Amino acid sequence: MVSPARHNEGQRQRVRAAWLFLAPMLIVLALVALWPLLRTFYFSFTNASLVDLHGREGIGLGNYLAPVDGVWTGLFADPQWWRALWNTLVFALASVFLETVLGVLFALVLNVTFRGRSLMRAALLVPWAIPTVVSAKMWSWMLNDQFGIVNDGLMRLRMISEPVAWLADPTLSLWAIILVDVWKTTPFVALLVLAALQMLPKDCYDAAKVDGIPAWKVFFHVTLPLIRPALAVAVIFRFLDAMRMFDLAYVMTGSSDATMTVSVFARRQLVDFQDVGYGSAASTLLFLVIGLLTLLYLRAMRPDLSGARR
Amino acid sequence: MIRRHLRRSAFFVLVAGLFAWLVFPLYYAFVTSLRSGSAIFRVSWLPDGADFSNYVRVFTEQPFGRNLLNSFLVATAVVAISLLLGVTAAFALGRVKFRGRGTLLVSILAVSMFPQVAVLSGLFEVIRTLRLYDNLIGLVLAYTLFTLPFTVWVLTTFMRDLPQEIEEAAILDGATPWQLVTRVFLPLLGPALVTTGLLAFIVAWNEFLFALTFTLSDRQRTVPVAIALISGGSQHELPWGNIMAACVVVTVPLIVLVLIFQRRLVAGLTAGAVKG
Amino acid sequence: MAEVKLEGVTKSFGRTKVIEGLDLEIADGELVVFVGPSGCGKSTLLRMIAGLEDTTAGEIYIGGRRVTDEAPARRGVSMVFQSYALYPHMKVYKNIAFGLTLAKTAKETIDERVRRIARLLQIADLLDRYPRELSGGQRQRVAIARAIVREPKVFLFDEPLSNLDAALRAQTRLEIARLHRDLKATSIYVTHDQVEAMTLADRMVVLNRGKVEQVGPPGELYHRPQTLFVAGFLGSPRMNFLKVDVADAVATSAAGAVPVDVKTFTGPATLGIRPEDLHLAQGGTSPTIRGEATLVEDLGETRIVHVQAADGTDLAFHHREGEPPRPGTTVGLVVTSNRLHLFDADGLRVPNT
Repeated sequence: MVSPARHNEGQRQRVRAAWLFLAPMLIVLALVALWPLLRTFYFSFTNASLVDLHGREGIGLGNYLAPVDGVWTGLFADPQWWRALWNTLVFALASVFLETVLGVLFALVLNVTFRGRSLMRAALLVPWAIPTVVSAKMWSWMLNDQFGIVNDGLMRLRMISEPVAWLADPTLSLWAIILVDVWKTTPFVALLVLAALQMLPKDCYDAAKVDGIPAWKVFFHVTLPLIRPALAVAVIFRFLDAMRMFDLAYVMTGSSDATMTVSVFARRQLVDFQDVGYGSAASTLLFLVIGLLTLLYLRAMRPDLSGARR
Repeated sequence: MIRRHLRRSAFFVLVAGLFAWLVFPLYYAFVTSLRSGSAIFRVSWLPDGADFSNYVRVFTEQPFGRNLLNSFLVATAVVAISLLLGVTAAFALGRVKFRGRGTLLVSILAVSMFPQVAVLSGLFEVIRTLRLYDNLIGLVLAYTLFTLPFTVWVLTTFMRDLPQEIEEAAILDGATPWQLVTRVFLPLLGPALVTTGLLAFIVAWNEFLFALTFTLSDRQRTVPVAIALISGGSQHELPWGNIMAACVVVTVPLIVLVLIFQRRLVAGLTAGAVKG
Repeated sequence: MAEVKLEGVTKSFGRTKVIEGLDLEIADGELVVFVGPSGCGKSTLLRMIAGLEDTTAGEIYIGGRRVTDEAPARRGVSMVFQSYALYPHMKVYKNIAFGLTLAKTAKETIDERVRRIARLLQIADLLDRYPRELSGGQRQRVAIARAIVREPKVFLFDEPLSNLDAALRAQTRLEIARLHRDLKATSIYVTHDQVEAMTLADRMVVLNRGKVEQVGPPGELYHRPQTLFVAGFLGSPRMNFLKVDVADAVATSAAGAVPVDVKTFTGPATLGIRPEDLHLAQGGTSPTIRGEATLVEDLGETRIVHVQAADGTDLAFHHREGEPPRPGTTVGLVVTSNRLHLFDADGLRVPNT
């Protein structure tokens, strides 16, 4: 696109100014993002400890995988790491899937004109605005095994016969957390999809109505393909967010193995065990896993994130 | 006729169900926060009485007022810095053609999406080197990691939508790029600034991981950390009344803000994603 | 003093050339209109003169000074935009004064100039309003006032009337003409509307695909179009074109034979006849072109009769008096023979000999 065009003085001044305007932001981002990221990579090859970051030695791949006295050690040999990665993937895939389905449902409902629609739309923003820690606490209380209203309700409806320990039972706790995440972030998906729905051409639907095509067919053959770009964007945003989940697991179940995500695992190594090297290695691996999955996704879906369509 | 009636009723049952799903947790937190003592441990679906002692205790048993102030100060400072740096950067990215613009935009978006834990140890080192550990300023710095890219991104989409001819008129009137931003675009971006600022405020107000890791003392904590760490006599006896009261205190002002600026927030939230 | 000169001006986006090696001289005080179909490069050319677009090759001179590399504001030009482009957050006064304020002109000077020009444009009582409180026509005047106040050497107008409704457009057109007569400033005006172009221009520049087709006073372009493109572009209904073969000063087609004023030319050509130069053959005159009437459009002052000529070409002509032919009937037509246009196979005018 850039031809070796001559720029007049005004254009040159603009480009100079543009870089000047970008500089403060770039400096701050270098300080809080790029540099720390590189340091984390670097720490992952050392045995740095939180108490004494300077007294570190390079240990090569020791934090990842290395034989020590004939036994493999490092993250790749750490079952807790694999458990954390598995939990993170299950959490991310399940919550994003449920949020997408529910989000589309919410958006379809809100796209219908009915009395009380604006109230409903306002309600949609409630879970979104509530701090994650607060939602974690609210739901912990509702899911409390002895005094929780969820157990109370389900027992009244005779769906369960005795209280369920939602957060303590290792087979249920991850799903309880997924439930809370779905509650909190479905509105985000719904809002994105709703915005896309409202930009759809009306005449398409009028034509379908005139032709007498059943509603579900219209949805799958007209609506879904048309909102696919918006959906693809919502899914990637949500997925990236879910892969780094920390607050819900930390607040609702502490560092239980059953719900430990990679973020919880890494922070525990870093802060609680003061093992900066090991924790950094876990962070680095998470970064790489997310990067890889994102690339695969972008390849497969090609959502238009550039926004540079002018 | 009957079929239509049935369909209408089914739709309203669906709507009512969705509505309850969205607001029930907040409602129930509120109900719980108004009960204390052993009453809390009897499940009640409806409010019964108005006992505000939980609210009093939240503020007396820990420096919760101070925590609220901290959260407010940090979030406000983060918003101010993000908008200040964001507007000029958004002008450069949204309205000036230069080599590498697309790459820069995508990198900025990537920064806002990568896992915070990936920078945790590096950022810890930066904060300690700058002697900002257990200091609100350290948090402000850390929070720009996600508010700044996001602000730049959203403002860039708004900036791009401003009419080209107004900019050209100003250029012919002799405006320098700085004058263009401050005297022509900034006033036009007013509504977008409110939206973006509010979104950044909410993000900063809600942040947990950095606040938990980079502060230590009760008096430097922000609200999410304070709530997460409210504990009673033993691990198994959490003071749920206090916690729910704290939750309501933190949430209500946010909900009010969000409802006031509803339309603009939605526009800002979807600006980055859908318009692209 | 403020003449504009373009030398080999070229604009390309990547490999597409939008303007190709264009030369043009505009005299001081002249009002020149760039006209052409959309995408012909007229707006791009205007924006290059303003400095809003870079010039890929060639040079631009304003008042004898080379400005190709200069910033827009330093070229001594001002521009009136299609969308008016008023600053929405400033009142009319500040809108007009903005450029002077940026140039750090003394307050009293600004005030004196803004008020004088507001009086000239009859917007003195609007100075305290915001643009959103004005009508389209009022906004247009403010935009013009803002352009004038900086006392530029050259005025640039980019389709300034296309956002106005028809009545207002005619009125504003007259005002721009009056203003130009009073100010005598060099002006370049871009439009796709040929009425605007014909009525305002001292000279017209017809552009097509980034190249100049013809330059000249409106009358000359209308009566002596040098290319087939100009012939077809100006005039409404557009000029009728017949595919003909010319030999011995007669242009022959299946529709008939028309004597033409060229003695030396032979070969295939296009014969152009303006709708006002084509008439029904009446009384004893023998028709030169035959066809079948297809449609009559009654515009009140005139009727436009559409005819399908015997060779299949659609022709149109004005019919002002008497009964128009009924659709479906065969008609015979004659031409005003001294106003015919003949174009060779390359679309260039064949001169009369």
